[in-house]
Amino acid sequence: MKKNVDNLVQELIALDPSFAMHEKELRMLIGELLENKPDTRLDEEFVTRLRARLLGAPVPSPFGSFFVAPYAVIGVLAVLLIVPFGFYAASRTPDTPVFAMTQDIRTLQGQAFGTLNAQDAGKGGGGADMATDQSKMAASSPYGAGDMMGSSMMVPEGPVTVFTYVYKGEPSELTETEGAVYRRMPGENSSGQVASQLKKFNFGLVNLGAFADMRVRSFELVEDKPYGYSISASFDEGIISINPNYTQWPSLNGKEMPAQLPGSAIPSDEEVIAMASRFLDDHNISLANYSEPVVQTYAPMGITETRMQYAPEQITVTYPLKINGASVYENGEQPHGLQVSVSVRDKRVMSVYGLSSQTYTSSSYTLSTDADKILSIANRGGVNVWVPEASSGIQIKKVEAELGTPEKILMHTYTYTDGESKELFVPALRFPVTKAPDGELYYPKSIVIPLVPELLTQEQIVMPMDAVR
Amino acid sequence: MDERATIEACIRGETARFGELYDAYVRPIYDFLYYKTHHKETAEDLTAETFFKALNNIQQFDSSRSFRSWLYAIAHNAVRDHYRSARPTTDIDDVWDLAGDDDMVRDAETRRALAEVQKHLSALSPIQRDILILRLWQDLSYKEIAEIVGKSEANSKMIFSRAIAALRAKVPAGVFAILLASFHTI
Repeated sequence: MKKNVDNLVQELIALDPSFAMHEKELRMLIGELLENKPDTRLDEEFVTRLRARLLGAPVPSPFGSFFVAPYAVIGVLAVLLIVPFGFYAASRTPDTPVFAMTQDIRTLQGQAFGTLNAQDAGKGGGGADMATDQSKMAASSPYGAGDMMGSSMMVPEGPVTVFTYVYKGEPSELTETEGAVYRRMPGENSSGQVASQLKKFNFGLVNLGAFADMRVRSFELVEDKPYGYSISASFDEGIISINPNYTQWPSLNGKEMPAQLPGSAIPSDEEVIAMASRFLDDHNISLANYSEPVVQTYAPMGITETRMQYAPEQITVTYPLKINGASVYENGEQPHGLQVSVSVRDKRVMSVYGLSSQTYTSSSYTLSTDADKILSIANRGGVNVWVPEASSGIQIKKVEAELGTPEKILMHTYTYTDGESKELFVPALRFPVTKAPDGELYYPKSIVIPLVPELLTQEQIVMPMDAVR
Repeated sequence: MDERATIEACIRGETARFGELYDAYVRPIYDFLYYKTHHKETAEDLTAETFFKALNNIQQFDSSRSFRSWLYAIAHNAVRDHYRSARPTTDIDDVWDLAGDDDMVRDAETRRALAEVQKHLSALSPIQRDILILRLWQDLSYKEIAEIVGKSEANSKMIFSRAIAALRAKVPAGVFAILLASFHTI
C-alpha cells in the first residue's frame, strides 16, 4: 500500500504543487482512505448464479412470474408483502421465476444417484419413509392380498383374495439396455434473493440487514376474505401448496357441523375438471408439463357415484406430470402430478398440491432386458406383493385378471441415504388391466413394474401372522 | 480475451459470448456498487440489473467507446435510480448522501468501519465522491474515469485534486496528529 500512497501523493503534487507543503498530512489522508476501502464480500455463488441467469435467459422479464400468481390470489397480507416484493423486482432486478415452471433437465454422469433401492430405515427422512410404506401398502393390500398395512395390523378375517394377472398383450421384447432416471431438484437457490428483498424492510424490532448470508426456507401467506386461501411455499422442497384459510370457510371453521351430502350432490367429472381448470387458469398455474386431467373415483367399479348414499366432501382431479414427454405414475397405479381438490359442498377449489419446481437432473442407469422376469412380476401384481404361503393357514381366494400391452412410463419413488432424501423418477412399464376379475368390486386399473434391476428385488414384507405371534 | 471481437460477436447476436465480458467485469462492477450502497444484497441486485441492461442493449453500444466506461455508466445510473425510487422526495445519489443513522439498510460492519470516513466523504459533491472512489478504490485511469463520469480527463484530474484538498481542509489537525501517531505501517 505504501507504494500506492507514494504514487498517489506524487500524482496529486503534480496536479497541484501547493500539496507539497502538506505532504505528510496528504500521505496520512490518502493512507486513511485506502485503509478504509470497504470489504465488499463478493459472494462467488452469486457470481455463478448471475452468470447462469444471464446466459440462460433469452429475454429477461421485469417480473418473476412467481409474483404474478400469488398477487391474484392473496388478500390483505399478500398486498402488504407481495406488492413491495413486486415493486423491488420490477423496479430493479430483471428476474427469472423463483420456482422454475419450465422444465429444465441437466444431464449427469451415469449412476449419479447411487443405488436406487436405498432406504435407511429409522433415520428419519419423511418422504422416503412414507414412500416405503406406500410401496408396501400398494404391494400387500390392493385388491390382491388383503389390507395388511403394517406389523400392527390384524390378521385378515375370511379368505384373502390373491390376484393372478395373465398377460394378453403383444409379444414383448425389451431392447433398451439403458434409460434416464430423473431426480427433481428444488431449483436455483433463489431463497437468498427473496431474503435479500425482506432485508430491505425496516422491521423495527431488529435490523435484518445486520444478518449475513440469509435465505428463506418457507413462508405462508393467507388471503383474509371469505373462502380465502393459505399459500405455503417451501424453498427446501421447491413446492407451493394452496389450502383453504380455514377460518374463512364456513363449512370448515368448525362452528357448525353440516349434514352429510347425499350421493346426488356429486358433480359430474366434467364439472369438477372445469372448476379445477378455471382455478388454475385464474391463478396463472401453467399446465404445460401436465397431460389431460383425470378425476379420482370413489365408488366401487360398476357403480355410478351418484348412486352412492353419501357424497364425499371433496373430489380430487389429478393433472398427470410429464417429464421429458414421459407420463409419471406412482408406485401403485395412480398418476403422479398436480392434484386439485374440489369441495363438493362449496362447489369451489379447496386445495392444490404437487405444484413443484420443474428442475431435474438425469443420469443413465442399466435397464432390465429380461422380459420373462418382468412378465412374471406383473403376473403376481407387482414387485412387493405379499402372497400368503400355503403353510400359513390363511384361506386364499384366487381370482384372475388380464393385462394388455404395456406403455413406457416413469415411476415416482424416493431413496433415502446418508441423511438425504432423493425424489426420483425411474423408467418403468405400466400394464393396463384390460379385463377385470369376475365379481370383484375393487381391483387396480394397472400394474407398474420398474425396469431398473435393483428395484425388481422383493423387499422383506412383514407378514401379519408373524407380526401377531 | 479480445474484448473488441467479443463485443462485436455479441452485437451480431452471439450473446453466449457475453459471458466473457461478464467474467472480466463482474467483480469491479459489484465492488463499485458496494462502495456506493454499503449493502451486499442491494449491490448484488444492482449488479444483476447492470449486466441485464448491458446484455439487452449491447446492440446500441458504440464500439468506438470503452466498454468498461459504458458498463460503469449503467451501474452509476442504476444506483442513482435505486435511491431516487426509494426516496423520491429527496436528492440522493448514493449511500454517502445518507446520514449515518438513516434507516436505509446497510451492512452493520461496513457502517461501523466507515463511520469516520463517512463524515468527511458525505461533505463532498457526488461527482467528487465518484472520482475519489474510482481513482482510489478502483484504481481506474483518469481517461476511464472521464468517460464514466462524462467529464474531460483534465477536468476529472482537477475534481480529484480539489476533492482531496477539501478533505484535507475538513479533517481537523488533531485527527491527523492522532492518525500520525498510530500510522506506522504506511
